[in-house]
Amino acid sequence: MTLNRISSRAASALPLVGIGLALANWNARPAEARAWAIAVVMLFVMIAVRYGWQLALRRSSERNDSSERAAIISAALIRIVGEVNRGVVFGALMMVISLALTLAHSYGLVDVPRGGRWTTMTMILVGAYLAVLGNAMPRQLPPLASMQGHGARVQAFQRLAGWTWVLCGLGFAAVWLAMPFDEARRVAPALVAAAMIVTIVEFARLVFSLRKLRLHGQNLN
Amino acid sequence: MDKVFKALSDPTRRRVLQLLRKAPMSAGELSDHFAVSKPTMSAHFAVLQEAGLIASQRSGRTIIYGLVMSVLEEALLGFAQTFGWGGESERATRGKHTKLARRPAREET
Repeated sequence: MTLNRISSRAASALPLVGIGLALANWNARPAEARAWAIAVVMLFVMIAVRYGWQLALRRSSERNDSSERAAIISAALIRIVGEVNRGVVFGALMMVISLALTLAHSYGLVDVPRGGRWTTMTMILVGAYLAVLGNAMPRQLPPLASMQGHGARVQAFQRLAGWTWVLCGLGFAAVWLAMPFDEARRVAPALVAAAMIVTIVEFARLVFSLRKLRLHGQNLN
Repeated sequence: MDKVFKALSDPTRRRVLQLLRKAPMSAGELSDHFAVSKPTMSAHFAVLQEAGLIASQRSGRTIIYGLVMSVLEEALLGFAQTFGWGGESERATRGKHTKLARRPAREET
């Protein structure tokens, strides 16, 4: 419980710290504005995703529904919010560390050699983390009661997303392990972007098909 | 991990996992695909649940099973299918299913 509270606090604070650091970097090195803008957008997306899930949890607990199904959905939402918090903490922490190091380097406080072994090792770890996250994705099964009639679609999406991120993570790590620094810097983000596009497109298709199914059900009633 | 290997070593359990890959199913729907008794099927479900490969949920009078396999476990299932882990071959299990399909429906409620 305490761990959950710590991760929740860290998940609210770290993206804000990251945004502050990205803006400070922007000020120190305006020539690389695009990179800082991307960092800010990514951190805002983390905040938005976290608040979206928290809002869903709050709405679910405010609803005076004491049915078994509502209890199951609420329990699943609590679990998902916990997972999202942990993901945000890890992602924001990685960004905060690299943004802080870059800022310190800009002011001549630390010497970070470009293309050094440290960067490669960090990137291989990031790739491994993506693979571990992807591996666990299909296990995050929503409550079966909430999947009546469309369980197959939800399951298919989770499996596809899981495989996509496992392959992306392994590819990401392999690229940093085998390719020269400059090439890896180009190829690795492309892999992540491809995985993100696949996941977003499939998620949009899932939401669209579920909405269609719900509308169809309402018309039948 | 031992429990996962044990669960994947049986062709019937692998077939159950394959069926659940398509969609969550009730215990009755799953049992209909096999020529084994209901207690035997329940034992198979228990092994799969203990290994954390499937999850169950009671919905009224039926139990619905859903797949909760990680990508690694799914890859292991693929290997097990390809190399036929366990004593009985996949062909033998399929034979059972064909026999079941040919058998006239029993009046069982």
